[in-house]
Amino acid sequence: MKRISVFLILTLIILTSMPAIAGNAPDFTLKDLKGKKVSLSSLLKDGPILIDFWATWCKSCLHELPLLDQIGDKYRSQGLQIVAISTDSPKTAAKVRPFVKSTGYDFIVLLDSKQEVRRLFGGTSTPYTVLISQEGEIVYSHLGYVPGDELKIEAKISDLFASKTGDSSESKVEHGE
Amino acid sequence: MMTLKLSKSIAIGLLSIVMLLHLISDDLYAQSLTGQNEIRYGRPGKKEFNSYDYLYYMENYLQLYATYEEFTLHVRQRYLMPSEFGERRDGLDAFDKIFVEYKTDHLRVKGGDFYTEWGRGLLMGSLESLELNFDSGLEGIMAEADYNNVEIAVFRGIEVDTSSAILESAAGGMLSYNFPYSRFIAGNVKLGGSAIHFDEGNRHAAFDRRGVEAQYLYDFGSVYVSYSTDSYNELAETYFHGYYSAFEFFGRDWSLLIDYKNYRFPPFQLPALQFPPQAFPTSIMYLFSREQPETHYQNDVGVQAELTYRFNGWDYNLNVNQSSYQDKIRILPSRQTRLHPFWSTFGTAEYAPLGKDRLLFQAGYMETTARNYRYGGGILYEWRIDSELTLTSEAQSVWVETPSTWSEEEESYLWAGYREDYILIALTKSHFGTITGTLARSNYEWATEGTFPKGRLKHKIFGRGQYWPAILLTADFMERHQLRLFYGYERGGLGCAGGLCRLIQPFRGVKATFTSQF
Repeated sequence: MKRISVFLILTLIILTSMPAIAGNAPDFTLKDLKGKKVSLSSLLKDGPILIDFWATWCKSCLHELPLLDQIGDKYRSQGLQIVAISTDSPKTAAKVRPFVKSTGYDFIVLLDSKQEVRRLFGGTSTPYTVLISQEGEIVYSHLGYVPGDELKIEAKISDLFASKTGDSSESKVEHGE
Repeated sequence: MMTLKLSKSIAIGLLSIVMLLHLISDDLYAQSLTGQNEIRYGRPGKKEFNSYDYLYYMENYLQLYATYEEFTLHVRQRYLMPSEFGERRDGLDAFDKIFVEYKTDHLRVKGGDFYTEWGRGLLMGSLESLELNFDSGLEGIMAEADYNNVEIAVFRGIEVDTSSAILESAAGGMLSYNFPYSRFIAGNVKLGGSAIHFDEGNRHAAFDRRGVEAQYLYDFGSVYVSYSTDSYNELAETYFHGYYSAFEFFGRDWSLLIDYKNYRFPPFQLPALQFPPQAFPTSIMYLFSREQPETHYQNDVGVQAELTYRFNGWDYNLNVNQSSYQDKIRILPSRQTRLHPFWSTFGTAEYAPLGKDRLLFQAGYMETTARNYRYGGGILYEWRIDSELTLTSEAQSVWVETPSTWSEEEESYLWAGYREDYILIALTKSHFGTITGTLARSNYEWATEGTFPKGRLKHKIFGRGQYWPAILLTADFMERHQLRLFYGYERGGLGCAGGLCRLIQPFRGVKATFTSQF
């Protein structure tokens, strides 16, 4: 038990004391429901992005999606895009398109059947939410969903837009000087 | 003592990697650096099990991705002492996964460990599930390119399973063409074909697989078809086939999906590098999900229909599916085909207005090849006490019938019945943690000759039962770390993630998982 404790304590100290080493979000290209390729870099041209990794068999994902859709409606005019990336494997992939179409969600849906992009962003399971600023910086990520998580996500989005407004007003002042 | 040294060396190694990555992540080289680490630990109660050592586990996964321009480097360190599932080996696998990827808008080349999937897994399918420790990845090189409407993919590699034992090598290619949207057919069509050669491996002789797929996406649905055939070079008359099709229809507030599968696969384990659609739901209730509807995987013909409908704030879902055994492959089953159908039906009705309480009713019926007939239902209520605090309560009950003994007098089986229950209560605070208490119960007993009266469901429905209480704590730290702590009895059964299931051993004791995102 002492041996395990040494390993656990050392590892936990390293992990928890470590600052977030991620800066920029890695670029990726996935196909949408029509088979068209979509890349992160092309999406970022229009504004910040909230990515949600989900699957049709994941119950908590299905509870989170309508809330994210609602957040998308609220911040779309400011340039926010919601990108729902399905991690359904071929075994359940057939359910993705009927589900999305029947629910009438407005967000962009991409397919990551091998879960490569989810792993690229450090996600171990679904749902996994990542907020990326227009500059391509990962500003927030969260694993799982419980009721109320949508409030924190919205607060982070609000902060992101507030800081952007602050930056632009600062730059205006600088320009004015 | 040796383990202690190993533990220290792993921790020091981990620290070195992290420090190194800190250095290169300061915009000196890597444009982005992402990854995650997961520690899994399980310690059973010694008194409960004779096979104590088998249930004890401790493992660590560290995964990192560094990206620079068009290049991505991935490394994974895996430390088992031993693993929770799979081959229970001890020790350090240094970097058990590594790849370098070069990617542009129209070209992708990857060398090292890779996974690929063609024809929804029927023509070619390799994947990994860390949740279940399943891995059918390849080591080698793969390339994907597209030009206008043509897509090409090729690969050559060696298959590696969870235990890292080399199984076989394979090489293949896939070519597909996307016809642009046409008003005449109100959609677009994709056609593809593939060919793979498998070298002789531990499990079978060398063989070739050829496959085709077609997809028609139209404005209110789609049709998808794929077919594969395997021919063994040394056994010229032995052929294996797989046919899968899916029909989707949808409108506002409703959708209908119909899957049809017709498989005849080799009679040993899973077919090589194939992961075809299963065409039945993974689960809707705990008491059903821990015992899936089994299929005659090698010679299976099955159909699934799933209807979703939204009305007046309620979401309804109905799934009906059937799986049957057949002697010979036919695209459509015929009278000459021996069928032994097993049916399942699942339904849910859910009322979940945004940000308010949630109510869920669920019910189902399921037959298995083990001749268990399960039917039951459950109710879940989620009370949002305030914007961040939620109390969830759930109750499920399932009745099971199974033939126990053969009666010479009646010339039929005597039926036994039993009941299983499941209760869950959870208190959740958003971005803080959850405390969950569960209690599973069953009065299942093995039937011995003469112990069950004839007739259905007359026995053991309300008898004394066996109980599996458990408590689970989850806690979030600093937005990037999550701790899961389990204590109590785990009943065992199937654990499923994304259509892939694994048998989980019964367990009593402590389990802990610590996950970090970078």
